[in-house]
Amino acid sequence: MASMTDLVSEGLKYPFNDTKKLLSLGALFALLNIITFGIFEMLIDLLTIVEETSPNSIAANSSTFASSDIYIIALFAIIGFIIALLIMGYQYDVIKFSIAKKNDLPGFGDVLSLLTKGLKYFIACFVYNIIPVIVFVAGIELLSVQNGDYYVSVLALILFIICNFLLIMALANMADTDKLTKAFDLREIINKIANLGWVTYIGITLFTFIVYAIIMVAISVILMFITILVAIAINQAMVILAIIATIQGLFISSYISVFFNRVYGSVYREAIK
Amino acid sequence: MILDIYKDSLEYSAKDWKTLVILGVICLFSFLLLPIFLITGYNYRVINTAVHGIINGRDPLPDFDDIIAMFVDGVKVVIVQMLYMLVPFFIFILFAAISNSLNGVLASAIMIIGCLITFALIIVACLMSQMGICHMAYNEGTFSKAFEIKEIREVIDDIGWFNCIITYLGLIIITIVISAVVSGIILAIFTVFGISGSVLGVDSSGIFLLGTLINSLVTMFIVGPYLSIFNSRSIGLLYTMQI
Repeated sequence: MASMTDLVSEGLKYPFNDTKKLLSLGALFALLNIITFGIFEMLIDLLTIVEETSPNSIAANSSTFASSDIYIIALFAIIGFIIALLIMGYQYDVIKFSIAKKNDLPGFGDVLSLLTKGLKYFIACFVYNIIPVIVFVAGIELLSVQNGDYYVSVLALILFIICNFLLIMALANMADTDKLTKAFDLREIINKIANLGWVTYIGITLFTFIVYAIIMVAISVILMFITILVAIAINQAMVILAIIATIQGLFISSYISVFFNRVYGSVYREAIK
Repeated sequence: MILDIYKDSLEYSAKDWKTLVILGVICLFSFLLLPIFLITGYNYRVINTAVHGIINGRDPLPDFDDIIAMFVDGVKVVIVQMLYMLVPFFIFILFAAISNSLNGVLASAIMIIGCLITFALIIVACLMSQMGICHMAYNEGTFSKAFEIKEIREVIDDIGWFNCIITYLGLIIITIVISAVVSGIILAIFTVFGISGSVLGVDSSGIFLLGTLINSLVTMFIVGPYLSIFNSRSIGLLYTMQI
Protein backbone atom coordinates (compact mmCIF):
# COMPACT_ATOMS: atom_id res chain seq x y z
CA MET A 1 0.00 0.00 0.00
CA ALA A 2 1.59 3.15 -1.14
CA SER A 3 -0.39 5.45 1.05
CA MET A 4 -2.97 5.21 3.81
CA THR A 5 -5.25 7.58 1.95
CA ASP A 6 -5.60 4.94 -0.76
CA LEU A 7 -7.71 3.10 1.79
CA VAL A 8 -10.14 5.99 1.80
CA SER A 9 -10.48 6.14 -1.96
CA GLU A 10 -10.83 2.36 -2.04
CA GLY A 11 -13.56 2.65 0.60
CA LEU A 12 -15.35 5.31 -1.41
CA LYS A 13 -15.37 3.08 -4.49
CA TYR A 14 -16.29 -0.13 -2.72
CA PRO A 15 -20.06 0.46 -2.31
CA PHE A 16 -20.43 0.70 -6.10
CA ASN A 17 -19.30 -2.90 -6.50
CA ASP A 18 -22.82 -4.16 -5.89
CA THR A 19 -25.43 -1.45 -6.14
CA LYS A 20 -28.34 -3.86 -5.62
CA LYS A 21 -27.21 -4.81 -2.16
CA LEU A 22 -26.43 -1.20 -1.40
CA LEU A 23 -29.97 -0.26 -2.36
CA SER A 24 -31.38 -3.06 -0.20
CA LEU A 25 -29.48 -1.60 2.72
CA GLY A 26 -30.77 1.79 1.63
CA ALA A 27 -34.32 0.49 1.78
CA LEU A 28 -33.76 -0.54 5.40
CA PHE A 29 -32.35 2.90 6.17
CA ALA A 30 -35.29 4.57 4.47
CA LEU A 31 -37.73 2.47 6.49
CA LEU A 32 -35.89 3.35 9.67
CA ASN A 33 -35.91 7.03 8.77
CA ILE A 34 -39.62 7.02 8.08
CA ILE A 35 -40.41 5.14 11.29
CA THR A 36 -38.31 7.58 13.30
CA PHE A 37 -40.04 10.41 11.55
CA GLY A 38 -43.45 8.88 12.32
CA ILE A 39 -42.62 8.39 15.98
CA PHE A 40 -41.45 11.95 16.20
CA GLU A 41 -44.64 13.23 14.62
CA MET A 42 -46.84 11.11 16.87
CA LEU A 43 -44.94 12.16 19.94
CA ILE A 44 -45.54 15.77 19.07
CA ASP A 45 -49.23 15.09 18.60
CA LEU A 46 -49.38 13.14 21.81
CA LEU A 47 -47.64 15.86 23.71
CA THR A 48 -50.08 18.46 22.51
CA ILE A 49 -52.92 16.33 23.81
CA VAL A 50 -51.34 15.37 27.09
CA GLU A 51 -50.27 18.85 27.98
CA GLU A 52 -53.22 20.73 26.58
CA THR A 53 -51.47 23.94 27.39
CA SER A 54 -53.46 25.85 24.83
CA PRO A 55 -56.69 24.06 23.94
CA ASN A 56 -57.54 26.45 21.16
CA SER A 57 -54.29 26.06 19.24
CA ILE A 58 -54.47 24.66 15.75
CA ALA A 59 -52.22 21.73 16.61
CA ALA A 60 -54.45 20.64 19.48
CA ASN A 61 -57.62 20.96 17.42
CA SER A 62 -56.37 19.17 14.37
CA SER A 63 -54.60 16.26 16.01
CA THR A 64 -56.60 13.09 15.65
CA PHE A 65 -54.48 10.74 17.72
CA ALA A 66 -55.80 9.45 21.01
CA SER A 67 -53.47 9.10 23.94
CA SER A 68 -53.70 5.32 23.58
CA ASP A 69 -51.35 5.80 20.65
CA ILE A 70 -48.50 5.25 23.06
CA TYR A 71 -48.81 1.56 22.22
CA ILE A 72 -48.42 2.24 18.54
CA ILE A 73 -45.38 4.32 19.31
CA ALA A 74 -43.93 1.50 21.39
CA LEU A 75 -44.61 -0.97 18.57
CA PHE A 76 -42.99 1.34 16.06
CA ALA A 77 -40.02 1.83 18.33
CA ILE A 78 -39.51 -1.92 18.60
CA ILE A 79 -39.75 -2.39 14.83
CA GLY A 80 -37.33 0.50 14.37
CA PHE A 81 -34.90 -1.06 16.83
CA ILE A 82 -35.02 -4.39 15.00
CA ILE A 83 -34.34 -2.65 11.69
CA ALA A 84 -31.48 -0.76 13.30
CA LEU A 85 -30.07 -4.07 14.53
CA LEU A 86 -30.27 -5.48 11.00
CA ILE A 87 -28.39 -2.46 9.70
CA MET A 88 -25.72 -2.78 12.39
CA GLY A 89 -25.38 -6.49 11.65
CA TYR A 90 -24.83 -5.60 8.04
CA GLN A 91 -22.17 -3.07 9.00
CA TYR A 92 -20.52 -5.79 11.08
CA ASP A 93 -20.42 -7.96 7.97
CA VAL A 94 -18.95 -5.12 5.95
CA ILE A 95 -16.08 -4.80 8.45
CA LYS A 96 -15.58 -8.57 8.31
CA PHE A 97 -15.48 -8.58 4.51
CA SER A 98 -13.10 -5.65 4.55
CA ILE A 99 -10.67 -7.40 6.88
CA ALA A 100 -10.80 -10.47 4.66
CA LYS A 101 -10.22 -8.16 1.67
CA LYS A 102 -13.26 -9.43 -0.21
CA ASN A 103 -14.41 -7.18 -3.00
CA ASP A 104 -18.14 -8.00 -3.01
CA LEU A 105 -20.70 -6.68 -0.59
CA PRO A 106 -22.13 -9.00 2.07
CA GLY A 107 -25.65 -10.34 1.48
CA PHE A 108 -28.80 -10.38 3.60
CA GLY A 109 -29.27 -14.18 3.56
CA ASP A 110 -29.15 -15.07 7.23
CA VAL A 111 -31.41 -12.64 9.09
CA LEU A 112 -30.97 -14.31 12.45
CA SER A 113 -27.18 -14.08 12.38
CA LEU A 114 -27.47 -10.51 11.16
CA LEU A 115 -29.59 -9.77 14.23
CA THR A 116 -27.12 -11.32 16.67
CA LYS A 117 -24.21 -9.52 15.00
CA GLY A 118 -26.19 -6.31 15.13
CA LEU A 119 -26.76 -6.84 18.83
CA LYS A 120 -23.00 -7.23 19.37
CA TYR A 121 -22.30 -4.09 17.35
CA PHE A 122 -24.94 -2.22 19.30
CA ILE A 123 -23.61 -3.34 22.68
CA ALA A 124 -20.06 -2.32 21.76
CA CYS A 125 -21.21 1.12 20.58
CA PHE A 126 -23.44 1.49 23.62
CA VAL A 127 -20.78 0.63 26.17
CA TYR A 128 -18.18 2.89 24.58
CA ASN A 129 -20.55 5.82 24.45
CA ILE A 130 -22.22 5.42 27.83
CA ILE A 131 -19.45 7.09 29.87
CA PRO A 132 -19.23 10.29 27.77
CA VAL A 133 -23.02 10.51 27.71
CA ILE A 134 -23.20 10.21 31.49
CA VAL A 135 -20.52 12.88 31.89
CA PHE A 136 -22.32 15.05 29.35
CA VAL A 137 -25.65 14.76 31.16
CA ALA A 138 -23.91 15.45 34.45
CA GLY A 139 -22.32 18.50 32.85
CA ILE A 140 -25.69 19.82 31.74
CA GLU A 141 -27.14 19.21 35.18
CA LEU A 142 -24.21 21.02 36.79
CA LEU A 143 -24.65 23.86 34.32
CA SER A 144 -28.27 24.31 35.32
CA VAL A 145 -27.44 24.17 39.02
CA GLN A 146 -24.48 26.53 39.08
CA ASN A 147 -24.18 28.36 35.80
CA GLY A 148 -20.94 29.31 34.13
CA ASP A 149 -18.99 26.08 34.52
CA TYR A 150 -18.31 24.59 31.10
CA TYR A 151 -15.41 22.34 32.05
CA VAL A 152 -17.49 19.21 32.47
CA SER A 153 -19.04 19.63 29.03
CA VAL A 154 -15.62 20.08 27.46
CA LEU A 155 -14.43 17.01 29.34
CA ALA A 156 -17.42 15.12 27.95
CA LEU A 157 -16.51 16.18 24.43
CA ILE A 158 -12.90 15.04 24.86
CA LEU A 159 -14.05 11.74 26.34
CA PHE A 160 -16.46 11.31 23.46
CA ILE A 161 -13.69 11.80 20.91
CA ILE A 162 -11.29 9.43 22.69
CA CYS A 163 -13.94 6.74 23.13
CA ASN A 164 -14.93 6.87 19.48
CA PHE A 165 -11.29 6.73 18.39
CA LEU A 166 -10.97 3.51 20.32
CA LEU A 167 -14.39 2.29 19.24
CA ILE A 168 -13.33 2.10 15.59
CA MET A 169 -10.54 -0.31 16.43
CA ALA A 170 -12.71 -2.14 18.96
CA LEU A 171 -15.43 -2.84 16.39
CA ALA A 172 -12.92 -4.19 13.89
CA ASN A 173 -11.23 -6.25 16.58
CA MET A 174 -14.60 -7.71 17.53
CA ALA A 175 -15.58 -8.43 13.93
CA ASP A 176 -12.27 -10.11 13.26
CA THR A 177 -12.47 -12.53 16.18
CA ASP A 178 -16.28 -12.77 16.38
CA LYS A 179 -16.13 -12.38 20.15
CA LEU A 180 -17.91 -9.61 22.00
CA THR A 181 -15.33 -9.60 24.79
CA LYS A 182 -12.62 -8.67 22.27
CA ALA A 183 -14.32 -5.31 21.82
CA PHE A 184 -13.37 -4.42 25.39
CA ASP A 185 -9.87 -5.82 25.41
CA LEU A 186 -8.34 -2.38 25.65
CA ARG A 187 -4.77 -3.61 25.93
CA GLU A 188 -4.99 -5.53 22.67
CA ILE A 189 -6.73 -2.65 20.90
CA ILE A 190 -4.11 -0.15 22.04
CA ASN A 191 -1.35 -2.55 21.02
CA LYS A 192 -2.82 -2.81 17.55
CA ILE A 193 -3.09 0.95 17.22
CA ALA A 194 0.51 1.31 18.41
CA ASN A 195 1.49 -1.27 15.83
CA LEU A 196 0.04 0.95 13.12
CA GLY A 197 1.42 4.08 14.76
CA TRP A 198 -0.72 6.58 16.66
CA VAL A 199 -0.03 9.44 14.27
CA THR A 200 -1.01 7.36 11.28
CA TYR A 201 -4.11 6.10 13.03
CA ILE A 202 -5.32 9.50 14.14
CA GLY A 203 -4.38 10.95 10.75
CA ILE A 204 -6.33 8.40 8.77
CA THR A 205 -9.33 8.76 11.07
CA LEU A 206 -9.30 12.54 10.76
CA PHE A 207 -8.83 12.31 7.01
CA THR A 208 -11.79 9.95 6.70
CA PHE A 209 -13.84 12.32 8.78
CA ILE A 210 -12.85 15.33 6.64
CA VAL A 211 -13.79 13.48 3.45
CA TYR A 212 -17.06 12.51 5.08
CA ALA A 213 -17.76 16.08 6.15
CA ILE A 214 -17.07 17.43 2.65
CA ILE A 215 -19.35 14.84 1.08
CA MET A 216 -22.09 15.54 3.59
CA VAL A 217 -21.95 19.30 3.04
CA ALA A 218 -22.07 18.82 -0.73
CA ILE A 219 -24.95 16.36 -0.45
CA SER A 220 -26.90 18.67 1.82
CA VAL A 221 -26.55 21.40 -0.79
CA ILE A 222 -27.93 19.02 -3.43
CA LEU A 223 -30.69 17.88 -1.08
CA MET A 224 -31.58 21.49 -0.50
CA PHE A 225 -32.11 21.94 -4.24
CA ILE A 226 -34.20 18.76 -4.36
CA THR A 227 -36.24 20.01 -1.41
CA ILE A 228 -36.93 23.25 -3.21
CA LEU A 229 -37.99 21.37 -6.36
CA VAL A 230 -40.26 19.04 -4.39
CA ALA A 231 -41.64 21.94 -2.42
CA ILE A 232 -42.67 23.63 -5.65
CA ALA A 233 -44.48 20.47 -6.78
CA ILE A 234 -46.04 19.46 -3.46
CA ASN A 235 -47.20 22.01 -1.00
CA GLN A 236 -47.08 19.99 2.20
CA ALA A 237 -44.22 20.08 4.65
CA MET A 238 -44.84 16.58 6.03
CA VAL A 239 -44.82 14.93 2.61
CA ILE A 240 -41.68 16.81 1.59
CA LEU A 241 -39.91 15.76 4.78
CA ALA A 242 -40.94 12.15 4.24
CA ILE A 243 -39.65 12.22 0.65
CA ILE A 244 -36.34 13.74 1.69
CA ALA A 245 -35.99 11.22 4.52
CA THR A 246 -36.56 8.41 2.03
CA ILE A 247 -34.02 9.76 -0.44
CA GLN A 248 -31.49 10.26 2.31
CA GLY A 249 -31.94 6.76 3.68
CA LEU A 250 -32.03 5.06 0.30
CA PHE A 251 -28.93 6.57 -1.23
CA ILE A 252 -26.89 8.53 1.25
CA SER A 253 -26.96 6.87 4.66
CA SER A 254 -26.40 3.44 3.17
CA TYR A 255 -23.45 4.62 1.08
CA ILE A 256 -21.86 6.52 3.94
CA SER A 257 -22.23 3.68 6.43
CA VAL A 258 -20.75 1.11 4.07
CA PHE A 259 -17.92 3.54 3.27
CA PHE A 260 -17.09 4.13 6.93
CA ASN A 261 -17.12 0.49 7.91
CA ARG A 262 -15.05 -0.47 4.90
CA VAL A 263 -12.38 2.03 5.91
CA TYR A 264 -12.46 0.84 9.54
CA GLY A 265 -11.91 -2.69 8.37
CA SER A 266 -9.07 -1.68 6.05
CA VAL A 267 -7.33 0.28 8.80
CA TYR A 268 -7.55 -2.74 11.04
CA ARG A 269 -6.18 -4.94 8.27
CA GLU A 270 -3.20 -2.60 7.95
CA ALA A 271 -2.74 -2.60 11.73
CA ILE A 272 -2.47 -6.35 12.14
CA LYS A 273 -0.07 -6.72 9.25
CA MET B 1 16.29 26.53 -17.34
CA ILE B 2 13.33 28.54 -16.14
CA LEU B 3 12.40 29.53 -19.67
CA ASP B 4 12.46 25.86 -20.67
CA ILE B 5 9.97 25.12 -17.91
CA TYR B 6 7.63 27.85 -19.16
CA LYS B 7 7.94 26.75 -22.78
CA ASP B 8 7.24 23.12 -21.96
CA SER B 9 4.29 24.03 -19.70
CA LEU B 10 2.74 26.39 -22.23
CA GLU B 11 2.87 23.70 -24.90
CA TYR B 12 1.74 20.98 -22.54
CA SER B 13 -1.39 22.79 -21.40
CA ALA B 14 -2.46 23.45 -24.99
CA LYS B 15 -2.24 19.79 -25.97
CA ASP B 16 -5.90 18.91 -25.70
CA TRP B 17 -8.68 21.48 -25.79
CA LYS B 18 -11.24 18.84 -24.74
CA THR B 19 -9.59 18.58 -21.33
CA LEU B 20 -9.85 22.33 -20.93
CA VAL B 21 -13.57 22.26 -21.72
CA ILE B 22 -14.19 19.35 -19.33
CA LEU B 23 -12.36 21.27 -16.59
CA GLY B 24 -14.47 24.30 -17.46
CA VAL B 25 -17.69 22.31 -17.08
CA ILE B 26 -16.47 21.01 -13.72
CA CYS B 27 -15.68 24.57 -12.74
CA LEU B 28 -19.19 25.61 -13.75
CA PHE B 29 -20.67 23.15 -11.25
CA SER B 30 -18.28 24.08 -8.47
CA PHE B 31 -21.11 25.63 -6.46
CA LEU B 32 -21.93 22.01 -5.54
CA LEU B 33 -18.61 21.98 -3.60
CA LEU B 34 -17.48 18.51 -4.70
CA PRO B 35 -16.23 19.70 -8.14
CA ILE B 36 -13.74 22.08 -6.46
CA PHE B 37 -11.89 19.07 -5.14
CA LEU B 38 -12.06 17.43 -8.55
CA ILE B 39 -10.24 20.42 -10.03
CA THR B 40 -7.52 20.36 -7.36
CA GLY B 41 -7.34 16.60 -7.81
CA TYR B 42 -6.81 17.02 -11.54
CA ASN B 43 -4.08 19.57 -10.91
CA TYR B 44 -2.50 17.10 -8.53
CA ARG B 45 -2.49 14.56 -11.34
CA VAL B 46 -0.78 17.06 -13.62
CA ILE B 47 1.87 17.59 -10.92
CA ASN B 48 2.15 13.84 -10.52
CA THR B 49 2.79 13.39 -14.24
CA ALA B 50 5.31 16.23 -14.22
CA VAL B 51 7.39 15.07 -11.24
CA HIS B 52 7.68 11.61 -12.72
CA GLY B 53 8.38 12.91 -16.21
CA ILE B 54 11.20 14.90 -17.72
CA ILE B 55 11.24 18.39 -19.14
CA ASN B 56 10.35 18.58 -22.84
CA GLY B 57 9.28 14.96 -22.63
CA ARG B 58 6.17 13.65 -24.34
CA ASP B 59 3.96 13.32 -21.30
CA PRO B 60 0.26 13.02 -22.12
CA LEU B 61 -2.34 14.99 -20.20
CA PRO B 62 -3.84 12.89 -17.39
CA ASP B 63 -7.24 11.25 -18.02
CA PHE B 64 -10.48 11.91 -16.22
CA ASP B 65 -10.89 8.30 -15.15
CA ASP B 66 -11.26 7.18 -11.54
CA ILE B 67 -13.16 10.24 -10.33
CA ILE B 68 -13.19 9.09 -6.71
CA ALA B 69 -9.42 8.76 -6.44
CA MET B 70 -9.18 12.19 -8.05
CA PHE B 71 -11.53 13.59 -5.40
CA VAL B 72 -9.51 12.07 -2.55
CA ASP B 73 -6.31 13.47 -4.05
CA GLY B 74 -7.96 16.88 -4.24
CA VAL B 75 -8.93 16.71 -0.58
CA LYS B 76 -5.34 15.82 0.28
CA VAL B 77 -3.99 18.80 -1.64
CA VAL B 78 -6.41 21.19 0.01
CA ILE B 79 -5.56 19.86 3.48
CA VAL B 80 -1.82 20.24 2.84
CA GLN B 81 -2.24 23.82 1.65
CA MET B 82 -4.47 24.74 4.57
CA LEU B 83 -2.11 23.24 7.15
CA TYR B 84 0.83 25.17 5.70
CA MET B 85 -1.18 28.37 5.68
CA LEU B 86 -2.06 27.89 9.35
CA VAL B 87 1.51 28.77 10.36
CA PRO B 88 1.55 32.40 9.09
CA PHE B 89 -2.00 32.78 10.32
CA PHE B 90 -1.04 31.84 13.88
CA ILE B 91 2.05 34.03 13.78
CA PHE B 92 -0.10 36.94 12.71
CA ILE B 93 -2.59 36.25 15.52
CA LEU B 94 0.31 36.10 17.98
CA PHE B 95 1.68 39.48 16.88
CA ALA B 96 -1.79 40.99 16.92
CA ALA B 97 -2.31 39.75 20.47
CA ILE B 98 1.04 41.14 21.63
CA SER B 99 0.50 44.54 20.08
CA ASN B 100 -3.01 44.63 21.46
CA SER B 101 -1.70 44.38 25.01
CA LEU B 102 0.81 47.20 24.45
CA ASN B 103 0.10 50.81 23.54
CA GLY B 104 1.73 53.76 21.88
CA VAL B 105 4.49 53.63 19.29
CA LEU B 106 5.69 50.24 20.44
CA ALA B 107 2.38 48.60 19.55
CA SER B 108 2.33 49.89 16.00
CA ALA B 109 6.01 49.06 15.55
CA ILE B 110 5.40 45.47 16.63
CA MET B 111 2.36 45.29 14.38
CA ILE B 112 4.35 46.47 11.36
CA ILE B 113 7.13 43.98 12.09
CA GLY B 114 4.50 41.31 12.54
CA CYS B 115 2.91 42.12 9.19
CA LEU B 116 6.29 41.95 7.46
CA ILE B 117 7.15 38.64 9.07
CA THR B 118 3.71 37.27 8.18
CA PHE B 119 4.14 38.37 4.60
CA ALA B 120 7.53 36.67 4.35
CA LEU B 121 6.08 33.57 5.99
CA ILE B 122 3.18 33.48 3.54
CA ILE B 123 5.61 33.43 0.63
CA VAL B 124 7.68 30.71 2.26
CA ALA B 125 4.55 28.74 3.15
CA CYS B 126 3.28 28.96 -0.43
CA LEU B 127 6.58 27.70 -1.75
CA MET B 128 6.85 24.99 0.87
CA SER B 129 3.28 23.80 0.39
CA GLN B 130 3.67 23.54 -3.38
CA MET B 131 6.95 21.74 -2.96
CA GLY B 132 5.34 19.58 -0.29
CA ILE B 133 2.61 18.58 -2.71
CA CYS B 134 5.24 17.76 -5.32
CA HIS B 135 7.19 15.78 -2.76
CA MET B 136 4.01 13.92 -1.81
CA ALA B 137 3.31 13.15 -5.46
CA TYR B 138 6.88 11.99 -5.95
CA ASN B 139 6.57 9.58 -3.02
CA GLU B 140 3.43 7.97 -4.44
CA GLY B 141 0.97 10.08 -2.49
CA THR B 142 2.19 9.34 1.02
CA PHE B 143 0.50 12.03 3.05
CA SER B 144 3.18 12.44 5.73
CA LYS B 145 5.79 13.18 3.04
CA ALA B 146 4.11 16.54 2.43
CA PHE B 147 5.27 17.63 5.88
CA GLU B 148 8.83 16.29 5.86
CA ILE B 149 10.15 19.83 6.19
CA LYS B 150 13.77 18.68 6.22
CA GLU B 151 13.54 16.73 2.97
CA ILE B 152 11.56 19.47 1.27
CA ARG B 153 14.13 22.06 2.35
CA GLU B 154 16.88 19.95 0.90
CA VAL B 155 14.94 19.76 -2.35
CA ILE B 156 14.53 23.53 -2.44
CA ASP B 157 18.20 24.01 -1.54
CA ASP B 158 19.12 21.80 -4.47
CA ILE B 159 16.98 23.81 -6.85
CA GLY B 160 18.06 27.06 -5.27
CA TRP B 161 15.78 29.43 -3.41
CA PHE B 162 16.45 32.21 -5.86
CA ASN B 163 15.42 30.06 -8.81
CA CYS B 164 12.26 28.97 -7.04
CA ILE B 165 11.17 32.49 -6.20
CA ILE B 166 12.01 33.75 -9.69
CA THR B 167 9.98 30.93 -11.21
CA TYR B 168 7.08 31.83 -8.95
CA LEU B 169 7.21 35.47 -9.86
CA GLY B 170 7.35 34.51 -13.51
CA LEU B 171 4.32 32.27 -13.08
CA ILE B 172 2.33 35.06 -11.48
CA ILE B 173 3.32 37.51 -14.19
CA ILE B 174 2.52 35.08 -17.04
CA THR B 175 -0.84 34.24 -15.48
CA ILE B 176 -1.80 37.88 -15.16
CA VAL B 177 -0.54 38.79 -18.62
CA ILE B 178 -2.33 35.94 -20.40
CA SER B 179 -5.68 36.55 -18.71
CA ALA B 180 -5.37 40.32 -19.24
CA VAL B 181 -4.44 39.95 -22.90
CA VAL B 182 -7.29 37.56 -23.66
CA SER B 183 -9.82 39.78 -21.91
CA GLY B 184 -8.33 42.79 -23.66
CA ILE B 185 -8.68 41.21 -27.11
CA ILE B 186 -12.29 40.25 -26.52
CA LEU B 187 -13.00 43.69 -25.14
CA ALA B 188 -11.39 45.32 -28.19
CA ILE B 189 -13.41 43.19 -30.61
CA PHE B 190 -16.66 44.02 -28.93
CA THR B 191 -15.77 47.68 -28.64
CA VAL B 192 -15.37 47.70 -32.42
CA PHE B 193 -18.71 45.92 -32.74
CA GLY B 194 -20.35 48.34 -30.34
CA ILE B 195 -19.03 51.41 -32.08
CA SER B 196 -19.98 50.18 -35.53
CA GLY B 197 -23.37 49.16 -34.14
CA SER B 198 -24.08 52.55 -32.66
CA VAL B 199 -22.96 54.17 -35.91
CA LEU B 200 -25.55 52.04 -37.66
CA GLY B 201 -28.11 53.09 -35.08
CA VAL B 202 -28.41 49.90 -33.01
CA ASP B 203 -28.62 49.90 -29.22
CA SER B 204 -25.11 48.90 -28.14
CA SER B 205 -25.92 47.80 -24.56
CA GLY B 206 -26.88 44.35 -25.85
CA ILE B 207 -23.52 44.01 -27.52
CA PHE B 208 -21.82 45.05 -24.31
CA LEU B 209 -23.72 42.34 -22.38
CA LEU B 210 -22.84 39.74 -24.99
CA GLY B 211 -19.20 40.75 -24.79
CA THR B 212 -19.15 40.37 -21.02
CA LEU B 213 -20.84 36.98 -21.29
CA ILE B 214 -18.41 35.69 -23.91
CA ASN B 215 -15.52 37.05 -21.89
CA SER B 216 -16.55 35.16 -18.77
CA LEU B 217 -17.26 32.00 -20.77
CA VAL B 218 -13.85 32.08 -22.44
CA THR B 219 -12.20 32.75 -19.09
CA MET B 220 -14.03 29.88 -17.45
CA PHE B 221 -13.76 27.26 -20.19
CA ILE B 222 -10.45 28.01 -21.87
CA VAL B 223 -8.17 30.43 -20.08
CA GLY B 224 -8.79 29.41 -16.46
CA PRO B 225 -8.22 25.67 -16.97
CA TYR B 226 -5.29 26.41 -19.28
CA LEU B 227 -3.60 28.56 -16.67
CA SER B 228 -4.24 26.12 -13.85
CA ILE B 229 -2.71 23.24 -15.81
CA PHE B 230 0.15 25.54 -16.79
CA ASN B 231 0.86 26.46 -13.17
CA SER B 232 0.71 22.87 -11.93
CA ARG B 233 2.94 21.63 -14.71
CA SER B 234 5.51 24.38 -14.09
CA ILE B 235 5.70 23.65 -10.38
CA GLY B 236 5.96 19.93 -11.03
CA LEU B 237 8.79 20.52 -13.49
CA LEU B 238 10.50 22.87 -11.07
CA TYR B 239 10.57 20.00 -8.60
CA THR B 240 12.43 17.83 -11.09
CA MET B 241 15.11 20.49 -11.46
CA GLN B 242 17.11 19.20 -8.47
CA ILE B 243 20.67 18.45 -9.35
